[in-house]
Amino acid sequence: MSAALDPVIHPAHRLRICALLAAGTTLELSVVKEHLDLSPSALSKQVAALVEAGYVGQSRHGGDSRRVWLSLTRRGQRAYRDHVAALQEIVAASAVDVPAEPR
Amino acid sequence: MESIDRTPDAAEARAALADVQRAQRAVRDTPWPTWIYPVNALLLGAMAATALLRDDRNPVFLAIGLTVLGVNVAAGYRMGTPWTVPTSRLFVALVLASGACVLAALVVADATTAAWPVLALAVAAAACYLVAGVVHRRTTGRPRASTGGTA
Repeated sequence: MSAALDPVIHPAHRLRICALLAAGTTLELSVVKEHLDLSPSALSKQVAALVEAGYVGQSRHGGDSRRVWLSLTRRGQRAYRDHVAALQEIVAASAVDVPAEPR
Repeated sequence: MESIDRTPDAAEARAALADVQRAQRAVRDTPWPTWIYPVNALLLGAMAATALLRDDRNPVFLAIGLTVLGVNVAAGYRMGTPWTVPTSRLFVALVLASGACVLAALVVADATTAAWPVLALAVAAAACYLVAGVVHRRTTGRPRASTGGTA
């Protein structure tokens, strides 16, 4: 396997957060919350883990400082890409392992 | 330091990838506010119509272009998704067609003195965008009342 699974991104909710940010570039925290079935405190915990790993950046900009914006850092983008590639490799390997049905 | 207890099997990996796709599609297809479609259509038509101006064509064209950008980025920030690109390829193709009509209007205006081809292209630019709006709304559904996109 050339790409490696990332232990920080591996939990399902964190993978989903990274997927949302990869698709949206910059998203408001409330949008991320809308797409996850998590309580505000659980979401904060997951986001904090990604921020601590240097994968996600948080900022408050624009007229409303109450709004928190999230985006993947360059390191986060690389880690997310590698993680997804590793998952794809697992799926691809299983397809190769399946013996062809005899005709 | 976090670690992975067990490498996921193929079914788990497939489920995780499907979840990734679902999440990305959901955020990219966030419904837009209804007002943005006619406003963009009008602005694109106006951009094409600036080709008819004899004086100050470039500054007016640039000003309307910046207004289009400003309106869309501001609406995006209000919705919390400023830079997402919708998943509908037909929508993207129609927006590109609308932009092509605007550029064609500029070229045609330099090649002829008649006003009607430019006006026809301005109407085509607006119409293309309106159709794109219908396509977009059909893929995303209506904006929910709780989002900023309904204003």
